[in-house]
Amino acid sequence: MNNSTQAMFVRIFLAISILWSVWMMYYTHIIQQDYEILQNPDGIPTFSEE
Amino acid sequence: MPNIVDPLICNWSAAEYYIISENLLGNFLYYSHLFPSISGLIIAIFVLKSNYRNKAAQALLFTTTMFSIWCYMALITWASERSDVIMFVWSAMMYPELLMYVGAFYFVYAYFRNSFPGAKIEMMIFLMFSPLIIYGHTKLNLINFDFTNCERNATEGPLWQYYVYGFEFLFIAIILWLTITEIHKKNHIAREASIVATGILSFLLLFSWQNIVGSFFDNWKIGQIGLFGMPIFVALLGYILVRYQTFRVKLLATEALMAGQLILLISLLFVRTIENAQIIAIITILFFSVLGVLLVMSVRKEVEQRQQIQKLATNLKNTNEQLKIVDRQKSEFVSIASHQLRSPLTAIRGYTSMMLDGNFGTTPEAMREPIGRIHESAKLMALSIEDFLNVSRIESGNIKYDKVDFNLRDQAEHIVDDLRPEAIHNGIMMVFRSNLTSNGVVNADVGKTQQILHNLINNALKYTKQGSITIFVHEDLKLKKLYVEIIDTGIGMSAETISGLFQKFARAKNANSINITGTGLGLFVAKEMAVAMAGDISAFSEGEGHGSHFVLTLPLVN
Repeated sequence: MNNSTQAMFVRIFLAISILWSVWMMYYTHIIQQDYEILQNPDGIPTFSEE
Repeated sequence: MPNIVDPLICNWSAAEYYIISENLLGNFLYYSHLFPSISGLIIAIFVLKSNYRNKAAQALLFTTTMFSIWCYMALITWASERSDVIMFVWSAMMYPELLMYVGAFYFVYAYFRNSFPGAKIEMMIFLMFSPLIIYGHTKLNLINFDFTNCERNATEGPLWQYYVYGFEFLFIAIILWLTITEIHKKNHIAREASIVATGILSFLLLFSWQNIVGSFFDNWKIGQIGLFGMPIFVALLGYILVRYQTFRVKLLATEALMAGQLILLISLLFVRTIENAQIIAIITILFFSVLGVLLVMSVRKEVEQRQQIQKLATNLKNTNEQLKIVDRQKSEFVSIASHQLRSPLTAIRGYTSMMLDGNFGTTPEAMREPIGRIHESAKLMALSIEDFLNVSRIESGNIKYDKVDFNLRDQAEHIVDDLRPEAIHNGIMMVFRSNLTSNGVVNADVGKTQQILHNLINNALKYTKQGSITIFVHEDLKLKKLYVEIIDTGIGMSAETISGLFQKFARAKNANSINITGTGLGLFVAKEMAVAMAGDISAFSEGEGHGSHFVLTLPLVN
């Protein structure tokens, strides 16, 4: 297998890995809603008119 | 219960198609994100279209595509009211961002070296991505969604704040190193290289700057100016295209201007306040000044070049016509002059010959030498005139070949026998050898072949003052060729002399040193004749003083 074919395989593997990682992000944040929300202590955010 | 904040608490308006939001209308954001990404993408597509195999162009399109994806994702984080969408998009944004730096590295690498880095470097890039692939969805990437004081930001973890920026600066350093190495080579692309690198590095540095300002100082608005590194890069790229014609794109500047104008006009529709319109106008002026000046420069240069080429073409045509007339006149002149000279010479030779033979009574002994000289000189002159006539005939295409099958071996032997007395008189040994399995019959013009052989062997006699002359006839039955080799131990020739030997008026450089007369047309005529009879003549020598070696090739008949 020559150098450019090897490089092509690495590239394809990287693309698949990134897609898997993006799917994991989608699964965690959008499907599972697994993240914390930092809020003001009273739970209601202060809001200024400006 | 869904973990999504209620946008109504903070007066956020909902986004349509993820990026169209009331919050952003009249804001500078659409302009800062859409203009650089679309203009960069359009230019990259045009560059690749004009030269789709160019690796640098491929990497450029990849880089601008990643930049555009990043810009679109960034707009979502600005426009969306949904915490889950912001968290997802914000965490995934690291990929187009880092791939953009990798693409920029590939662009610079391919630009300088015309190839992509090999599998080893690809593997290293893959390893650099692996922590992001493994931990991208965890709290190491984004810690939480900041809802305090109606913020809509994600809090970035160490992966974003340190690893990603470290990755970016490493690539900036690599690109800088590549450029410096290239400039140090001091080759013709050094200036070009510095412009390419200035463009891409200012783009990457401004881009990293906007992210760092956002991440560390929590000011994402000022950072947007960083995105204008992309048009700077694209403008410099445009300059290189025009100045050095790197990608051989002529219409590119015009196309980029048209596309830019369209985007700018459309973007004005989204602007509500005067201040924002002013900012857009300033950037537009800057962008157009650079590209416009380049375009005018390139068009002017091209028009000037075209005018010059037209002028030169007209001159060339006229000169060519004149040359043709002069050449025809010269050939006619040579032909007429030669014929006129030949007739009186025949008379001179005839009468001197008769005088020497005693046809007009006994010639006094004192007269014999002068008459002999007149006879010899007239003979030499006749030979020279024959050369001139042959050249004239060859050039006017009036030479005729009567090809018949005849035995070249016998012909060569006859000529050697004829010339042997002269060789013996000069103290030179003349040897004839043949090594044939066939009968040695070739298809050619007998008279012309004799003339060629006479010429070659005569030359050997003229240029050999001692030693021997060998005439060797052999064949190649596979190639159906018959060879006559004339090998002498004479004054030899330098490589320079051999290269111009079959030109008109070519003579051995050292010919004058041994007092040899000649027109320098004989070999030209011989070669032309041999080639016309589907043969050839070639010459070899190991240098001056090492003898010469001529080979006449003619087609063998089975």
